[in-house]
Amino acid sequence: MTIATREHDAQPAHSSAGADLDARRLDRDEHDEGSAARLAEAMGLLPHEYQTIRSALERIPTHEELAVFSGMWSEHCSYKSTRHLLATLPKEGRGVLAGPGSHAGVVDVGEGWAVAFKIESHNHPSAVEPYQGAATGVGGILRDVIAQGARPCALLDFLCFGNAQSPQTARIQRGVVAGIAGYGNAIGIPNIGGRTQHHPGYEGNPLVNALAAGLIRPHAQRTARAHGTGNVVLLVGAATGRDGILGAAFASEALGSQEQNRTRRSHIQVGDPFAGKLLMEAVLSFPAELGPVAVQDLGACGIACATFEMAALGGVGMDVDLSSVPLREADMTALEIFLSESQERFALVVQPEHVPAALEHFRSVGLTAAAIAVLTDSGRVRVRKEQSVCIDLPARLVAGGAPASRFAIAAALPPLPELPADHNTPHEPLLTTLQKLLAQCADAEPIYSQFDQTVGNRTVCGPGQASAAVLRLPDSMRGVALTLSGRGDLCAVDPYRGAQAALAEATRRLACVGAELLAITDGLNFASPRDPIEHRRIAEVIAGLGDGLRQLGVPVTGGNVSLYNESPRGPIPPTPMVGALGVVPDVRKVPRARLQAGHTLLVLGELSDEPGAAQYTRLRYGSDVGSPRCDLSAEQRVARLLCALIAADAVAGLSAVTQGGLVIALAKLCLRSDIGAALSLPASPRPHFQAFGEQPAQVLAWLDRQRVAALRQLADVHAVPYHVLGEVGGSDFQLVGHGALTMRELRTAWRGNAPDAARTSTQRSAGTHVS
Amino acid sequence: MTHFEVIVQPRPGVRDPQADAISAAMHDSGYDGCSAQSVGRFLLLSVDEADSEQAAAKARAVCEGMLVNPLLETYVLRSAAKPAASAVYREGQP
Amino acid sequence: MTPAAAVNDSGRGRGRTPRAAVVVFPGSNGDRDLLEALNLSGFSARLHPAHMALPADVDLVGLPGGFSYGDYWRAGMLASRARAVQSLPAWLAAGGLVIGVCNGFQILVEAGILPGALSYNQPPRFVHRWIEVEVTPAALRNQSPWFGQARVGDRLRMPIAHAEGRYVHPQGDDVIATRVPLVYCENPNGSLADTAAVLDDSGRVLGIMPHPERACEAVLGSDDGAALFQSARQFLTSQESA
Repeated sequence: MTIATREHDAQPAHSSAGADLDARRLDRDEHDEGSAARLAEAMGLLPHEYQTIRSALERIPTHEELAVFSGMWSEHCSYKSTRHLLATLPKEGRGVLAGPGSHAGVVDVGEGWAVAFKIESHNHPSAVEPYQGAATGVGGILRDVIAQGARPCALLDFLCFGNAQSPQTARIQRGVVAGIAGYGNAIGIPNIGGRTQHHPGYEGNPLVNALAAGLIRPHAQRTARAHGTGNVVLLVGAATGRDGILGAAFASEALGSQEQNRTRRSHIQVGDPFAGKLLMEAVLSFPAELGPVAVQDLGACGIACATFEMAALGGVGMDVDLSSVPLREADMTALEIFLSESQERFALVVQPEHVPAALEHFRSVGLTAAAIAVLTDSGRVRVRKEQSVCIDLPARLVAGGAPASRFAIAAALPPLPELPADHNTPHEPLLTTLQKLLAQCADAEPIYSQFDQTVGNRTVCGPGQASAAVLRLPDSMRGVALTLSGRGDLCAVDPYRGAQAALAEATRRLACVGAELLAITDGLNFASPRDPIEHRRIAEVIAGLGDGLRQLGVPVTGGNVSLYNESPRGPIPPTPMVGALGVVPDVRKVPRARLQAGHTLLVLGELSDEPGAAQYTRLRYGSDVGSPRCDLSAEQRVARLLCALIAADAVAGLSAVTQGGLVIALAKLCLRSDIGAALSLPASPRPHFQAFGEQPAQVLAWLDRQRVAALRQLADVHAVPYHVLGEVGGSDFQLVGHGALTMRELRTAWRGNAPDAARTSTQRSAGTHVS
Repeated sequence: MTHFEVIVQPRPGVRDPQADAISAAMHDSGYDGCSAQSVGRFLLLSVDEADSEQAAAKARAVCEGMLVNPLLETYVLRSAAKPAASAVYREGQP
Repeated sequence: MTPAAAVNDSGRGRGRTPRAAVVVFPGSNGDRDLLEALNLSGFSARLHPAHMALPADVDLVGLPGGFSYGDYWRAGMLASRARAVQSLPAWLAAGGLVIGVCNGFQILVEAGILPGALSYNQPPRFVHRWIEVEVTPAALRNQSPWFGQARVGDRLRMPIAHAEGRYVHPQGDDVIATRVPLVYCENPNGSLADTAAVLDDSGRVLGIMPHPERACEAVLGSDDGAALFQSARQFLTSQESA
């Protein structure tokens, strides 16, 4: 995972502006050892990092060079605190064509197609400016997939916010959802699934992660590996302004008068999906006869990152001339141009004879394009503006040369918070708990209905239609399934098992649409690794993921780590997000998550009332307690059964039991299908944990009564227990022995009392349906 | 009642995709020599306050507290004699 | 005179697959979807750049969904000035069918080819949802080529995906009675009288807010939308053989 991400980590040292340093006075001549070291520190470089730079260069680095190191050796570009942990994750697997280190992981999905996919975070920008933060996050992850050579075909989003009731959460959530919609809808990539979670631990530090997937022919992959002395680097897309040059490198820059500051300061990055669309089409349609030799999207640290990484990957050098960069604002300094994070830009390497045609390819659709650098055999990136060279550094020292961080790590986590002793006694009527929990697992339709889910004409199952999203491959009945899972609340109590619970849920969700888990992309969101306890949590999550993946035989093909997610209230819960990919052999067989009257409902997997960490436990005790329940072997057995059931057309529908547990899954299914059910569970001393305990490896199945025997036979073959719950029908949600709620009462709990203002007109009388 | 015109515009230097696209479209449509410099928003604001000083203070408060995102936008507040014609246009009555 | 007969020499001809052009504006994103739906329904369809006048050798022109020019300023306004749209009235005079889907509908009203306007949804946000529309008597009034296979009261299931789809018109009632072939069964956007689609006087130009091109295959959720394209093809081929 050496490719840069565009997350701005709010590293404490980076945000401390060196207010007493006037960088402009520090030109090379008067730049002495002491002032350079102080400047490095003010820019967030650690003392041992400065020493590494100093001894590698054998001279005092310039101000501009230190700024480049500050950005490129930041956590988000170098993974310096986590790469030794990430190295332990399994990366090899069936069908993996590109893994970590590529723009996006690529997996062969058959019939001559492969899927490029990756998840990325944009947490801190979204906290500062929710709409643009989320919009540019979507734009950024799409460019990763495009840089790999794939045409984007799907977006998914994983959002974590603070208390659902707080006004701050409402404001941030509104902006984030609108930002994802604003960029994704306009560029025309369907948003086919997502998770939204609320937990007090995210108050003031939302998590906004987006996953993009694209279709690609396996041989058409592109790379960032620049090669060929004399080849030319083109910068294409939007013009460059003072965008997103935040904290890190500019802590010491240009601290003039207030007024001067206001006009000169770095601007919030603004996404432009229209330019993004033009650029996407132009990059994807770039003529094969013009190359390109290498492609790189521009994200964090802008041109700096693109040039250093492409040069380092290819083992070449580059002479960069910043005077040729098309600018949006006058009077930009070399450093501003080099580190700007203006959106909607790519870098391409082409052979010199192709430069005019390549530039015209982009200019003809209204994009800017310019030749900004030439490849050399020096292994160094030299940067000049007009005639003055301000940066001259070895590519591999800057990109990939950051020494590993050695922050202290706690030997062990504090003991797990135990369940209070009264957990063995029921505390309130089951249906009361159901209503409270439903309100917490509220209907996500108001969110996902703001996203275009069907543009592109591939969506077989979108949000709310199945346990995982399903897309059809071009001219085929084969499909790919994608889903997101992850639970910060479970990882807060047990990061190791919580991480594995995310893998378990991914396996279960994919199996519900008949897909076997092939590969994952991981979005890891953590607090500060400088805190020994948090550092231990990071290590435990990654260990849990690694052990779980090895047990499942599944690789990680890439991902993202976001650190320093903290608010004044404290660290966020460690939140690994699993983006899972599988193949659906025949999309016509995917069962729909919709009940019909007369169906028999069963739960596949073991019924259990073991107490553990769950949404219910937090509801009851006000905090995350107990240990998450997880059993990957059981998940694998259930998944094999589900794929067999679907292949044999043996069920009408399947739905995974996830957050909230068995009865929440039943209630949501009835609500989505707009029909009641009469259900019974076996007597239990802990009925709440049986109903809401999030027991492992459970899936709801429904089918015609006369077909139950055939299902039982297959379940026995796969050694999966099952239990008949009852019959579908009527307008009540009935739990034998616990009473009943009307569907209206259930819906009020789920959606709240606010009527959906979008559905205002009178119902028309039913007519005939055109077939 | 005191009336104000509020004009909200992107901060100088902040990327203005709307202006860029409109400029491109004007050029594509043959309106040569025209370009959009800045696309903003217009609001006719009425404040239920007779004293002009107090009304202006209230207007500034609503601009800075809600209507304007200082990270991205700047605004101009102008007093208006009476609601402009566009504000009393009702749908279906051009 | 039929569209095919009108320009027989320039390429429209008898007894062959009808031809269609889908106009691609900068920012269109439903162009491929519309192209595929037309091909699936028996057309020979191709993409056509918006900066060029419409070709004479096609029987049908499709204006696709998407965000032409980013939907900036007013959805469809900037695209309605493109040369392809400016050449539309002359192209229509020679016969031929036009469908504008979603952003294409917005472009048609901005160009003045269809009456009324499309304004911000009520509530004011983008909405994607699978909905049903119902065929009204107006669909059959002028023997619109788009509804040859439809009966009054038929319900068609297809997705909507738009932020500016609330149809408004100063003289609402007259338009509704004669020009609105499809109404929403549940109004998703505050459209006047549940209007989901509008026809021009001739019945040959259809602007439609929902996406029939995304509802042409059962495996993707519905194939009800194919009825529109098949009706259009049937009309064109029967005109040719008449």
